[in-house]
Amino acid sequence: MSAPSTTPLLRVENLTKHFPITAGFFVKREVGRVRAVDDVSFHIDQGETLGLVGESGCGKSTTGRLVLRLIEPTSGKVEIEGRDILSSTPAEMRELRKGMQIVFQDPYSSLNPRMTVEEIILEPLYVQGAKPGPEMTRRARKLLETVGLSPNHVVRYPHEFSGGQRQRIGIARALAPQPRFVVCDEAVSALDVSVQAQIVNLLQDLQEEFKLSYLFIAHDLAVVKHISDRVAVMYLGKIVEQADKASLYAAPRHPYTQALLASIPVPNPRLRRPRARLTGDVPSAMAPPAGCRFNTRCPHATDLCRTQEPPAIEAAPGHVVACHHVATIPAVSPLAPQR
Amino acid sequence: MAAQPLLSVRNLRTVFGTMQGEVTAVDDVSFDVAPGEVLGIVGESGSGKSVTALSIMGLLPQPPGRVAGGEILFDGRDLLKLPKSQMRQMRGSAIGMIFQEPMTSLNPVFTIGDQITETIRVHERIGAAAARKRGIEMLEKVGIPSPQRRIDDFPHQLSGGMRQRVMIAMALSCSPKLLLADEPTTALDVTIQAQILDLLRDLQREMGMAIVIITHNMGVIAEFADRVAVMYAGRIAEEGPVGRIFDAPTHPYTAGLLSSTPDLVGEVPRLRTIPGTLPSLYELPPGCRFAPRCGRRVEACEAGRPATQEIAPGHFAACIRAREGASA
Repeated sequence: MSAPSTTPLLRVENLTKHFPITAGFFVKREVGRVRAVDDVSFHIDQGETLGLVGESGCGKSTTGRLVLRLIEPTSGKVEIEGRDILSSTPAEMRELRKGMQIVFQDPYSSLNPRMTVEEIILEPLYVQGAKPGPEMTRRARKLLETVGLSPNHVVRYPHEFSGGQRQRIGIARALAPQPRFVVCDEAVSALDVSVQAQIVNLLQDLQEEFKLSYLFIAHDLAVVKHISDRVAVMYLGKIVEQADKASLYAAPRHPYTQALLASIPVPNPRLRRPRARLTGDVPSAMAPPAGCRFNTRCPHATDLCRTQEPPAIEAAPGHVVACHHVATIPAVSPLAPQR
Repeated sequence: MAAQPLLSVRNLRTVFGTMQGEVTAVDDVSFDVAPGEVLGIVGESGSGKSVTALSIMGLLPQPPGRVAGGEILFDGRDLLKLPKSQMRQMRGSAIGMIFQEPMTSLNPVFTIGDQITETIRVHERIGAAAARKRGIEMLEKVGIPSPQRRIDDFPHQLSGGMRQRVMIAMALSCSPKLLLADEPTTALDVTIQAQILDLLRDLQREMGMAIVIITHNMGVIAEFADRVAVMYAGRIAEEGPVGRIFDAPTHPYTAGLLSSTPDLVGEVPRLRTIPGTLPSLYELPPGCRFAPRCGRRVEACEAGRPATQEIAPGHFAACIRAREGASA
């Protein structure tokens, strides 16, 4: 699916977001920081889908918002088609935003219940200065058709639609300004499986038709595997492993990725197996462990892991792993059928 | 299965009164659970799986909910005919339950010790010190580190996974014969989900209890259940041993559900989908409720409710074309 090209559509370097924790009512003072995203780098090529996976609180949604500059990063660099978005003025930003859109998780709270479907879908264009008129209505009808809804639905309100249909409306809204890059933030997570499959297929069709690039953020590794070209795994604000989909699922190198894959219940009773248990919980992002952030739960952790942060190493072409012991940990997939 | 099922639900019908009239959330549902067996109930939102569990526990919000018909036989006694006081005695001692939301199922103003010992002391004549000792044992059993200290924690001091462990400790503190687990791992992250499922499996073997696990996740069913009932729009579409349901689903809905689940092992270019959406309970189709979305629909499907047929020993499907072989 990925088209070869020289400049990536999106390049993210050393992106960091720390949220301050303040105390005091009149005089706020900083008492700590949540290190939500810490020194994250990746790129997305034209027409490519990068899957971003991780458990709750790992910083994947914050990353999605940072690359659209919906929240301001603490430091780092985000370039879209070679243009640095973090140094852009508000006017330039508005122009750039035509090219980058987002689809949210919750199809119930992300649509304004007081607006008609037409108003919702065209809102991004009105923000850009377009004026309502018959031409715009035609456009809304066309967009509804594109996402598989009836054009006559433009006059309806969100409550008249099911979850899957609402998600289609959210997608139509994202497509309205003809973006090249769309962040899908858990876009199918709230949907039932039969409807989820419809939306996943729709996203793939639209990608082909409009040559879109996706940052597909999700916690469901099976969906991510299906839709992505490459996958990045996050843990406590860091990307621990990044590779093309085939090698990440067939030969994961980072112990966290291995544990994550081993934890998924597989819908095949014949693959029922003793799981490699990952003990304990995710530590707090306010006080992440020193050294490698995974060391408190890692079966391979040594003293080195407890003191020094592992650098991101390219273990194989395009396969980046942040683990001190990547050379010695066997790259086994926990998903291979046993016996 | 066994000669005497532990739980036998017969023709259960649960309705809800609404402004637009009465809707039937669970319509003529029957199934058995043998002692020590794990039955999975799987379905999408609105299929009636949670309402089935609440009906069994007598925990339906009344009104608007009401069991309008059927029997729920537990150890041969009809739970629907029990007086409230006896039902209350039954809940928590013979039948335990855990819910989806570990964040909201615990009372935030009491310590977890208070909440566990309350359960024990309601059901057994036992002193405060002995109940506390049992509470600590239970916390240890569910894998809570340093239980002597943790028993005095408040729920907000625990993570989601730990809270679900506490819920399990409470549900199992009186050694129930049956545990109803309604989406017990849905709110949890995948690594924590694996821990909780392992724990439930170990405790189930150790204590020999039966479990009814309700989930929307086919993966959880495949790893955890012995038998599975697939629900659609208030009815059971298919029921059978877990191996058969996954290998040879006969109901088109089960087949559709399985093929629209993205696969971690294999690779398909495109997901198979089930067209359309779940029907509204206000405007249910006549005949088979899946017919409007079904690729194998024939005219007879819309004529009347499809009878449940036994395809193979213990394998039932409510589809008139079930005997034509496994649906693709």
